[in-house]
Amino acid sequence: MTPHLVLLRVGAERFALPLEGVWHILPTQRVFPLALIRPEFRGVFLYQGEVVPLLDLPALVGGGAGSGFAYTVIYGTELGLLGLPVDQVLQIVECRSGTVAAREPAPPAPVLAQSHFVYGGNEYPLLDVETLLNTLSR
Amino acid sequence: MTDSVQMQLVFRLAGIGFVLPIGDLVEVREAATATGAGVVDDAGDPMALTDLRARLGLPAAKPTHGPLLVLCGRSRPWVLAVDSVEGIFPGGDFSMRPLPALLAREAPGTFRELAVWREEPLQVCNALQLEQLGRGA
Repeated sequence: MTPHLVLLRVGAERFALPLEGVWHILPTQRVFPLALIRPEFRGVFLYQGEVVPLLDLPALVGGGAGSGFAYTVIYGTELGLLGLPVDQVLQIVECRSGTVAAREPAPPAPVLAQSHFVYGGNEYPLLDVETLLNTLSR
Repeated sequence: MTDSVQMQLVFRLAGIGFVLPIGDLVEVREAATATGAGVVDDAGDPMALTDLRARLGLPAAKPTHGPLLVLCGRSRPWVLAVDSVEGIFPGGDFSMRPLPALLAREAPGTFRELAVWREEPLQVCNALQLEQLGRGA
């Protein structure tokens, strides 16, 4: 199967995300805040009866902890499902329709993306969710 | 008759729902019974009044205070200020879940379990754990 990427917008930033990790893209879910959790998360929501953490992606991107977002991307990680709030799903494209280039210099932590997907003349930071989670505070 | 051990108290603090075993509860009091010096028990002795918002990293209390929970403590009852009490419900109303691994912090005293109640995840706690948090342990 040809690898695909989902092109997303979070605030003013655009990203690419490997489609193979995406379980579902849903309209905004009701988010429940929790106390004493890792600060990079907004809380949790219910997805098919499962409690799923919602990453505060807008804050990590640098756009502040905005409250509103249109969609939640359900993403599978080594530690379970994760919710990513996004404002817009732009496109789903084949990886071979563009090129992947490393980011120079390497970005500081938390590391959102170590490479770019170049497509249609635009650069989309390629979200590396596992690396990002490993660089968050405990 | 329902076994009170299985009953759970649901309360809210800064928009977050918590569930606590009813066995940990001594009584619920109205906020008006609190004074600047705290709350007194039936014998007239003061009980410590604790506001956990700061310890939990939650916003400060609004000017209108909610009810007070008198809870069992390590050595004596103590008082927790909350925003509201939803009520007391049988244990069967709750579906227990572990806190997702992605959210777990390494800090001691954090909540490790959730209870889904009426389509809402609540944080599972107990009186001794909250008392320790209030002391900064």
